[in-house]
Amino acid sequence: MPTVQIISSSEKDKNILQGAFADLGAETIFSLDLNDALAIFERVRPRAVFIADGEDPPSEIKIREILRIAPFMPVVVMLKRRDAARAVALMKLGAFDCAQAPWTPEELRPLLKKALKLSGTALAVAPPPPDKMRKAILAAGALAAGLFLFALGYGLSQYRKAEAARIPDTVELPYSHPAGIAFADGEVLVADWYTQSVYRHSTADYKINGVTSFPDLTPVGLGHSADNLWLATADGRIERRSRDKRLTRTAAAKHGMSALTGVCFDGLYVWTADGKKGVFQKRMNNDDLRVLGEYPYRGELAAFTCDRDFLWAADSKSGEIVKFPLDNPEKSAAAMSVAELADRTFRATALGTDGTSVWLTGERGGRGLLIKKNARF
Amino acid sequence: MPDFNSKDYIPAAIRLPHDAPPAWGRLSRVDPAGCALVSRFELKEGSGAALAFELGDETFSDIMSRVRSRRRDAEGYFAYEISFTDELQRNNLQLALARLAAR
Repeated sequence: MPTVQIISSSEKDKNILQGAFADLGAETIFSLDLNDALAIFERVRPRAVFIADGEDPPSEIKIREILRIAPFMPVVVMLKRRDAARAVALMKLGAFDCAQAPWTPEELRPLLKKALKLSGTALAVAPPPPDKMRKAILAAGALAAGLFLFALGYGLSQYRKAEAARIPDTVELPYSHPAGIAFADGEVLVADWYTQSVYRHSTADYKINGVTSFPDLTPVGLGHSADNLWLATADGRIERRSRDKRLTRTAAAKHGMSALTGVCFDGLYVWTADGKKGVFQKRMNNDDLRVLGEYPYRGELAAFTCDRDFLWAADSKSGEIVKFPLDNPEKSAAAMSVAELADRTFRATALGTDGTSVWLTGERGGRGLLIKKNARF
Repeated sequence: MPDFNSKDYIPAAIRLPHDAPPAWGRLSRVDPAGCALVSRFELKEGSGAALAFELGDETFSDIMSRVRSRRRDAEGYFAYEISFTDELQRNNLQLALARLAAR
């Protein structure tokens, strides 16, 4: 029985759809929202995704995020009413088709059948069965080479296990414009300004565990503390958000900088950096983020972050990550050359640290990258 | 019959006569004389419709059309052969397709 994933927060719709898809011979897995859907997507591996329209986040964002992870997944939007303009708009964004209300088995049947036909393409052709002579020759050859291959294979498998277990230091992100990094609950959070979303990645394998979308703002920076996240927006604000599922906003203030290059929290103060002016700013951790001091930075400040001990700057001129002690932010304590920063095809966009590693995001050739470096230098 | 499995198929809105609510589908082929339309909405052979779609950067709306033939596939979708009936619109479409091909 094929499995279909349905994203709908309405209990009433769930009852209707469960019955309708059961009549059509499909098993249904329900997700309340996009984050729920993405969290179980890899495990469930649906043949198609059906989205109830008119819920938060908008279907446009759901389509985009699902296709980002599974570009060939048929995504059907179930409209609350027959709206051709909306259906065409959603199809232009990648929806396979749209269903009109009421969502009866008769309405859903052709969509489901077509979606199931579209998905599940065979990836390999089974080899033809060998004839008897070929079988005999193959058997003899296999016997002769058996011991040698066993020894070789065992060694190779041990090597591959070790390689597979190693987490790569550079990962290509499934989105192209990373703008901020933070850390929370054992995950790496990356903000992308183009998709207007914050992605939660597993630190074990970088898989996306969840997405929070912000249709009404463009995130350009991210910082974290034990209890909060700081989100810098393109319209010149820094918002303090709680670390709940929806990243609820609790405060916002204008930062007054022309080119914010990073925002972070050192445990006591909020720090920001202005890449254009070449300054670090130390701010009160309150609702208006009052500036307490400014410290010049002499270099090309591409990205910035801090932790309980240091300010960290990614310098695209010197090709280094430089660290400054918090009590003396004008005198660098150490610097580390980073090949990516010296590479003119790479544009650094954000810096973050989780205490043991320094993480850098950037763009190269239209791709977003996440790079991990040892922080002990 | 074209198979409905290509993201390149062009989404199109279908305005129907007699104030019937508009439908939608995808164009699998467009030429100045007409198009191939795939939709799960049923249109009668010989009936008229007005299509709206985009080709490259250009938007075409209210393209007067007539259903020349139709076939239903195993999934319940319809594949239509559509003729464009307005000569001026056909000429404009021909120019737009030529511009697209020239890119």
